[in-house]
Order: sequence, then structure tokens, then C-alpha cells
Amino acid sequence: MTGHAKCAAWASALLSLTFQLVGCASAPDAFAVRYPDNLEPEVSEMIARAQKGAGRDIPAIAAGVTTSGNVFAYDLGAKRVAWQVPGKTRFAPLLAGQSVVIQEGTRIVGLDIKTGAARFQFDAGEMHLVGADGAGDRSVLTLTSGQGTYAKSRVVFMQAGVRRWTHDLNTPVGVPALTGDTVLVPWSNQYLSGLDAANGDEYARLRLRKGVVSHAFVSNGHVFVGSQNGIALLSKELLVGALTNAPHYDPPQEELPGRPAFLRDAYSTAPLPTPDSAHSRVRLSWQSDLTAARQISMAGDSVYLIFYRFVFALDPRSLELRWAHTHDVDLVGARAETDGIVIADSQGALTYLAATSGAPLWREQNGPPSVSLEFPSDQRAIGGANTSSVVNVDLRKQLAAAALDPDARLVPMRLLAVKLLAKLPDPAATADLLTLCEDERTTVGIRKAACNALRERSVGNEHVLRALQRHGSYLAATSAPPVGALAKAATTQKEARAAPLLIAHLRDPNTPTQGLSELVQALGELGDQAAVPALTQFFLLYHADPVDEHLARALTHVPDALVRLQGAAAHDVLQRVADDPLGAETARNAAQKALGKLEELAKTGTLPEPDPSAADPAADEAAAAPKEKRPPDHITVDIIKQVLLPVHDPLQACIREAKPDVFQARAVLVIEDGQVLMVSVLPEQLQSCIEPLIRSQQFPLTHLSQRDRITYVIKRF
Amino acid sequence: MAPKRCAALAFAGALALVAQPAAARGNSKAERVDKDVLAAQTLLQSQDHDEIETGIQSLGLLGTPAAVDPIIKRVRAGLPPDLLETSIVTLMALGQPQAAPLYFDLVEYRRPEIRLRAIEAIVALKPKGAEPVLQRALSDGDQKVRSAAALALGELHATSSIELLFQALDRGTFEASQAIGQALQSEQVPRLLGYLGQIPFHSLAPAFTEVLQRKDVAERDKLTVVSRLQDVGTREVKDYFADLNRASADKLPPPVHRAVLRAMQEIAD
Repeated sequence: MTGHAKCAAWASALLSLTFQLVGCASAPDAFAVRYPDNLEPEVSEMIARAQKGAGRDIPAIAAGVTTSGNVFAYDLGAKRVAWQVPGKTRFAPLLAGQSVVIQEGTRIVGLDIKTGAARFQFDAGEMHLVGADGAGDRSVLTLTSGQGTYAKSRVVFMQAGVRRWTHDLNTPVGVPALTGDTVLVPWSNQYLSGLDAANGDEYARLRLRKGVVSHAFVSNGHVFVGSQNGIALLSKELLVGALTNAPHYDPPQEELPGRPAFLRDAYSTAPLPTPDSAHSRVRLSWQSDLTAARQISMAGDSVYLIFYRFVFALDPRSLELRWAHTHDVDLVGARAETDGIVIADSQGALTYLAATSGAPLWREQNGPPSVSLEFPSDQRAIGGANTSSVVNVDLRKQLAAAALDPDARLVPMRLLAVKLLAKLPDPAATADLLTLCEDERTTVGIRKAACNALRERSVGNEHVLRALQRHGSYLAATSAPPVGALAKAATTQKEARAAPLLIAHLRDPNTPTQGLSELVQALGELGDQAAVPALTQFFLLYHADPVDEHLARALTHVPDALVRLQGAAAHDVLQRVADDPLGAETARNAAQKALGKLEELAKTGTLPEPDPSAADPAADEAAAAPKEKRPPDHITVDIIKQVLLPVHDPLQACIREAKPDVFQARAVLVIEDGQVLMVSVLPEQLQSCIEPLIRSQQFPLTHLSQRDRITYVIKRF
Repeated sequence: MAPKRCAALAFAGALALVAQPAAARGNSKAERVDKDVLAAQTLLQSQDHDEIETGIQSLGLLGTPAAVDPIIKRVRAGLPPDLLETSIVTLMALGQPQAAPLYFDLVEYRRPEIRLRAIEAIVALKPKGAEPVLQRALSDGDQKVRSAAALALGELHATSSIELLFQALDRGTFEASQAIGQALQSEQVPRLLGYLGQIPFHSLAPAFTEVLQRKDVAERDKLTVVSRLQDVGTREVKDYFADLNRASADKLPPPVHRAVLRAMQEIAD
């Protein structure tokens, strides 16, 4: 026993002695404010008595509400409807031993679970049901009205249809459990009272200092307590005051689609769902158990997420997907069992899915169309034990089917399916993501998620290449693939074979411009020199005519791609665009920026030299002389700078000595085939000084042999 | 010196006197053209929009083959869309085959109106190698480009494109019907007739007009066309025959013409 536990034990013993000494012959009323809590040996006695009664025989009968509002019961052993009666229940039915408990208006009604006949009924006034539990012909119900300090609650114990005892309390009350001769009632967030089932006397009270207790329940022969934040085994360790001191399970914090509660909040204003509420369709189902090592486990090692038509079996700790089941119609009930999960759908079909694979082990289509069906716990009889399931789980197919489902309500789960599909190492998952990415009929959010996931795929190269081979064609009735996402995937996969396919798309007007930015970047990253002519042509052709915003954006990426591929050889093209006032500003700025980068790289000496066998923008014309030092295509500012180096000082002197003072001169040069055809200088006063100096230099021949007109600025230093 | 010889010498001398200024004029004309081309090229290299436009137009006015390359180079260096269109129109006017590769490239330009212009230019020039380019344009995402490509293939009498043209017709490019009429072989007439009742008659009519007027289509096939149309027997067909008779009676072989007249009489109003 730990030190803390020893202290608690001594304190409770002292208190007990005190009560005896002062002659408190009568026990305090149940749920009284002044009731000693965490007293030993009372709490241990409560735990022992509760545990003793935990092996219960629960009828294998489920209860639900039809689409027309009737209450019905389904015999899971016989696999048929047991009975159906008219009703107007406010909440989903509660199973309590041999009774099905419903609330119709202000009346609480208990129906016989086997026949549907009314066993008991009483008026609840303003209160509504919170929870119920039972064993045999005994049932305990909790009701409440108001909330917090304004709450008024009631605990009612029924036996053989007769009310045996009732307790009223001025605090909120949770979901009770009836186990053996003990009734466990959570209340006021932190208390758990043990009441004698025979007379309702409270004989033990547990108080938690840390954590919330809103539920007490029996599962697999053990008693658990807890709330939506987690559960713990009802055990002596709880005397210390926290659920986490005992064997416990805390559900992962990761938000799941629909944000289903691990356990419903019993202290909320509406603790019980209405029959047709979303709770029937979005929920977590699980069955707790205790291992030999006294650790809480989940049956099938899964918690099941039910979301309308989906069932996802998840690892209880990591939420890793085990399998996914897509149903034809909405699910209205589900309960995890030892070796699987039983589900009920809105069309009246019941199916049992194997825990290991999600494969259906049995199915019955004989229930009424319904909005809600509540299953009993601990049903070993309805399991799939008769049929062993050795089905290989094709998780990828299951997830792809879920993600492709056209139901717009299921988007949160479909997004989860996409996220899980993206984690699979199977190359075929790349194809699935591609299918989703280019499906124009599917929800935009799903498409975007799939395209983003596709971008990050490092496997599935062949699927990417095959998709890129397709082009948009009206005659063939084909559409262009999502080139942007595929281009990014190709770079993630370092798939150089994609380069020629991307080049073809760059040139194809049927390929939408939306993906061109990523396509251009990919061509730069893949490093295929064959992309240079296409990129150069694209840059030159459209820099003055960016057809739309997407193409304009793509143009801004070309300079970087050319620098990556060509290094310094990209200079001329970039300069031409940077200097063209008819060019789009964004393209010119991008070119200028890349030129700056080239300069920096040249200074630091890290300028990558282009591959000597690299393709050139005029590759067709240069094919005859690939090995000669190639003249520049055009006269550029840099070339002029180089040519005028020998006369740099005299040129500076022209500016320095000019009167009135000037800080720079702007010269327009027209040069063709190495000949200076025209020099025009501003301010005009410098014409006679600067022109002869320029004409005195020899300019190189250019490859394209055309007239170049360049503006050259001489600044005074 | 014999008088005849004197006269010949004098005539030769006179001719020499006349020819010399003409030769000089020819040389100076060539030089003038070179200078004009150079001047226009300088304008093309300008950074001013209007100057470039003037340069393009100037080259167009020159009308010589030497004017073509500068425009092509300027186009490939990138132009705003209006100047690009002006360039294409100018090149069309110049009508030189060396512009064909540029047209082929521009059929894949990312503005549909430029693609259309390029197709027009191809139709005007009818260069070698145009057919595959136009075949690809049948799959263009823009309906006008597809229609223009279909009509262009018809203008080129692109018999090897007939299958693609039928596919285009199946896919709703009705302009393909005229091209089919221009390009099909006699044995494909029944296939064309199979579209009666499948697509609107007014879309098929241009094809039938072409077939009925072509000299290389057998007379019996033309008579079959008239007969099938007569079987359709609608007011629309009757009006079509009336228009055909008015506009093209002289282009129809006499038996065909008679059949058209007979069909007009027998189709009820």
C-alpha cells in the first residue's frame, strides 16, 4: 500500500470510530451532504460486492424505435423481431435487465423485454431519464431536471414492476449500474455511491479528487467507472482519489470525424439522445475488458467509429485503422462485442462484422425500418464464433471505397479515409488518390485532400507516369490529368522519366494552366536538360502575354528552373525578358531576381555549370556545330559591360566632367553583326564624349544575327 | 557597213542605253528594299508597342519574302496578344511558306483566338505538313477551334483525315460535315447518308452540296444522295433543293439536275 493510501485508510478508520463513539446509530440518508466518503472498509466492501455481482446474465434482445415511432425489440439469439408496440418515446430506449425503459412525455414506462407488455410506469414530472441498468426483474433508473446547482435528480429502483425505493437529490446524477446486490450511482461529477439494492441505503461513497465520474457499468464481468474523458476499473486504487491511479484507459485526444463522445455526457442538459438524433449515426462503440495483467483492453483490440454508413475499426491507443466497412444505408445502432461488432441499419438489417477483418459473419434482413436500435452488452451468443473468418483485409480497397463514396454527409469520414490512404505504402494507393484527385464529381474538399496527398506520394511511380501520358482530347473524350499534383509527385519520387511527359503538357493548350506552376518547378527539379528549349520557348512566348493568372504565376517559376538547369547560360534569355517593357511585370521581376541570383552565385563561385551537352534554346539551328564555342544569341547589358571595360575610365570621365553635373548617362545602342549602327546618349551633352568611346570597341557577333537594341546605363561612381 | 547591220547595231545600242538605267533601277530597288527591311527590323527591336506595330506593318507593306523572317523571329521572342495577331495577319498577307512552322506552333498557343488565326493562316497558305496539325486541332478544347480545324481539313481536301472527321461529326463538330463532303471518297457516301435523321439536316446540307458538285464523285452516288433526300421529303429538303438549283444548277451533271428538279416537284409543300 502506498503512503497516500495508508493515510487514507487511517483517516477513514478514525472517522468510522468517531461515528460509533458519538452514538450515530442511524446511517445518514443516501446522498446526504454529510456522508463520509472514501471510508474503509466500506469502499472495499462496495467494490467486492459489485465485483461479485458483475457476472450477469443479460438477455440477448435489442430494443429500438421504428421510422413510424413504434418501439420494437429484436431477439438476437433467434434473429427475429420479438415484438413491436406503438409508442412516442422521447429518447432512445434503455435496456435494464428484463425491462426496456422509455419516456413518453412525462411518463417513464418499463416494457417487458420479451413481450413488450408494460411492466411499470410512473410520472417523472419535469425530470427526464439519464440512465438505467438492470439484472433480471430488477432495474435502477436515474432521472434529472435542471443542471449544476439547480439540478434535481431522482434514483428509482424497480423490482418485478413495483417501485421498491426512491431517492431524491439536489445534484445532477449520472448513469447507474446494478451489479449483484449493489446499486452504483455516480453523481455530482465526483461521487460514486454504493447503495444496498434491497433497501436503497447508501453504505459506501467514493469521492474522486481528480477526474469526473458520470458512468458506472459492467462489462465482461468487471465493473468500470468513468466519463467521456476515460474509464477505470472500480478498484481500491481509486481511494487515492484519481481514476488514473487505478487500471484505466484514456481515449486518444485526436479529434475524430463527427467528434463522437467516448461516453455521453450524463450531466449535460440532454444526456439521452432522441431516437432520430445524429447520436444513432455518429458514435464510438467499444467493449472494455481486463487483461490478466490488470490492464484495461478493448474487445477485438478495437474501438469502432460509426459514421452514418461507415464503420472504422481503430486501434484503441494509436487510432491506427484496422479495417473499414462501407454500408449501403445509414447505421442506426452498433455494439462492440467480444469478437466483432453487431450493426443495425435503417432498413432493418442486422449484420455482424468480424473484429479481425470487418468481414460480415452473418446478416439478417428482417427488422423493421428504424431510426435507433440499442444493443445489450456482453453478448457472446450473437458472435460470429460459428464462422471463422480468414479474410485478408484489403485496407486500401476499403479506404478507397470509403473515400469515393458520393454521400456528401460523409465528408468528414471520407477525409479521414483519404488521410489514412495516404499513409499506406502500397503503390496502388497512389492510383486511388489520383482517381479521387481528378474526379470532378466528388466534393471539392475531398479532391483537394487527395491531390495534396498525391503530391507527397513517394511510391506508385508507374501510376504517375501512366496518368501523365494522358492528354485532354475532345475527340477521344478524355480530360487532362491533374498535372500540378502529378508533377509534384514526380519530384517527390525523383522520377526523371516524367520530364518528357511534363514537357508535352507544357506545350499542350488542352492542359489547364492551373497546374503549370508546379509543372515548371518540377521540370527544374528533375534536372532534365531536354526541358530547357521548352521552358525557354514558353518563357519567351508568353512573357508579354500571360494568358491568365495561372500562366502568369507559372512564368514566375521559369527563371529559377532555367537557372537550375542551365546555370549561367540562362542569362541571356533572362536578360531579354527582364529588359522587355512589354513583358508582364511579374515575369520581368522574376527574371531580374534570377539574374541577381546568378550574379551572387558567380561571385561566390558556386554557379553550377550547365551540362556541356545541354540543349540550347536554338538547338535545332545549332545542331550542326555543337562543339564550337557558341556566340551569344543577343547582345546583352553584360556583354556591353565586358566590351566597354577597356574604356571604362574615359567613360566615367565623360560623366564626371560634364557641366552641369550629371550622375548617369543612358545610351541606346543598335548593334548588328558586331557593328554599332547607332549610339544615342542622354543627356545629349554627353553624346560627343561617349559615342566615340563606344564605337571604338569591337562587339561580338551574335548567333541569331539580328539587330539588337539595348539600353545601357553608365553610372557615375 | 551594210544598212541592216547598222540598224542592228543602232538597235542594240539603243537597247543598251535603255537597259542600263533599268538595271540600275533594279539594283537600287533591291537596295531600297533591304534598307526598308532593316529599318523595319530596327522598329521591331524597339521597346515601344507602337513602333513594333509600325515595324510589322511596314514589313507587310513591303510584301517580299525577306520581310517574313524578322516577323517570325519577333513573334518567337514574345509579343502582347494584339501584336501577335497583327503579326499573323501580316504573315498571312505575305503568303510565304517559311511561315508555316510558326503557324503550326501557334495552333497550340494558349489563346483560342490565336489558334484560330493560325488555322486561318494555314488555310490561306496550304503548306505541307498541315494535315497532322489540323487533325490534332480537331481535339481542341475550344469549339470554334475544332470547327475551324474541320473546315480547314476540308479546304485541304484531306482525304486521310476522313475517319477523324467522321469522329468529329459524331462528337458534335457539325462543321466536319462540309469537310467530309469535300474529302470523302465515293464509297463513303453511304456512310454520310447514314447521318440523315441523326444530326440536323442543315448541318449535313453543306456536305451534300459538296458531294453533288464534285467532279470526282460518281454520278450514281450523286443520284443516290438525291434519291435519299427525296425519301426524307421534308420542307427543309425541298428548300435545300431549291437553293441548290438556284445557286449551282450549272455545276450539277444533267441527270443529277433533273433528279433534283423531279424531287422538288414530288416533295409536298
